Amino acid sequence: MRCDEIRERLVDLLYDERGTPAASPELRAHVDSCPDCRKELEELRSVQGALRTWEEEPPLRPIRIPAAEHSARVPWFSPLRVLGFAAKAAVVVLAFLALSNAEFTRNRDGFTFKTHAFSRNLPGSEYATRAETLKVVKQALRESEAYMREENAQQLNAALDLVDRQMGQEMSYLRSHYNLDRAKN
Amino acid sequence: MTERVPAVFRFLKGDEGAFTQVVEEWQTKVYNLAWRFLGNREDAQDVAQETFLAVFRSIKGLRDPRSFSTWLYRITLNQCRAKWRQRTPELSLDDPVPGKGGDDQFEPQFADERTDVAAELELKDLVCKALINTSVEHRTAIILKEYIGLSLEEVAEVMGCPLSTAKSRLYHGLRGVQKNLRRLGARH
Repeated sequence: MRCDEIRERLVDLLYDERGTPAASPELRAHVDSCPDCRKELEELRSVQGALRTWEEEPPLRPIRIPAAEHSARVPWFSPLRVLGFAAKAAVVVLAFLALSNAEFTRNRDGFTFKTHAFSRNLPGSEYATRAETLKVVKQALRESEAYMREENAQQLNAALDLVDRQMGQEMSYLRSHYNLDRAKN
Repeated sequence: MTERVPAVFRFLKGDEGAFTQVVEEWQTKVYNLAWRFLGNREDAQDVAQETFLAVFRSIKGLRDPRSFSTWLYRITLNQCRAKWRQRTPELSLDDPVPGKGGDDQFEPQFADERTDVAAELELKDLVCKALINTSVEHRTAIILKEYIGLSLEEVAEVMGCPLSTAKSRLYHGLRGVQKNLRRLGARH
């Protein structure tokens, strides 16, 4: 066994712990018989002794966990968590009511609540869906366009009739003057 | 005989107040690990504070509460390495010994005590400088073994290396401290 091969294994002899592979008999025999290795083991023990003069101390100040950090860990069934869920649920419900044109009315029978979110499925509803509204508007546009076309045609025909009548009058005027002139001549 | 349930187990089962006890139980170990790694009390205090914040934030992800100490030392060492990278070197072997006139100065009342106590304080400061001037891996192995008191296998586990590597780091770390102490002129 050579000295340079066993130097790192001196740690086994230095600590000689339970639960770790014990220093081999060969290693012990070598260190016992080798002055250099024995000296090195003694020096390592001396360093150990020096290291132990640096004793443990308490922290300068107690370790503190900030309150914000601590409060971030809220148990699942705590009142704070329930309150949070309730607030979120309230926001969702209010948003739904606003978007669905909800109506609260008071009459002789008491309060009534009506929403138009599902008006497509309610035949008696006064409210039209977007598609229904578009349909009505398109129909109106189509009808107005046809009406205008018909109106224009009638006006055009009337104008043509007027032109015809004027031309007929002018022709009869010319014809009468032509006949008079020919009779004179 | 009923065995007291460790604070870590109680905290993981939902006992919020147990975390204070976890801190009380472990703060001295964490602080001293950091102090020996960094050689500066204020830095060690910062690291200890950051370590427990990190523990608080991530302890729910700890799979096996029995490995809490290994996990805690790993977090502490990560914080130490981060702090070590940020700081400028203060304890060079060529600097004066910090105990002489520094915050560790201690004046014994009796003349007879003066020599021994001063010598011990001086050796402690020299040890501090000698240890700080070893490599991070060697220093870590020495601190975990000599100061935290872990077994060689636990040292290997915390450092995430084979047992043979941990032993090698420990051997070379001790030799490094010895060499540094000689350079500093320490008699031990």
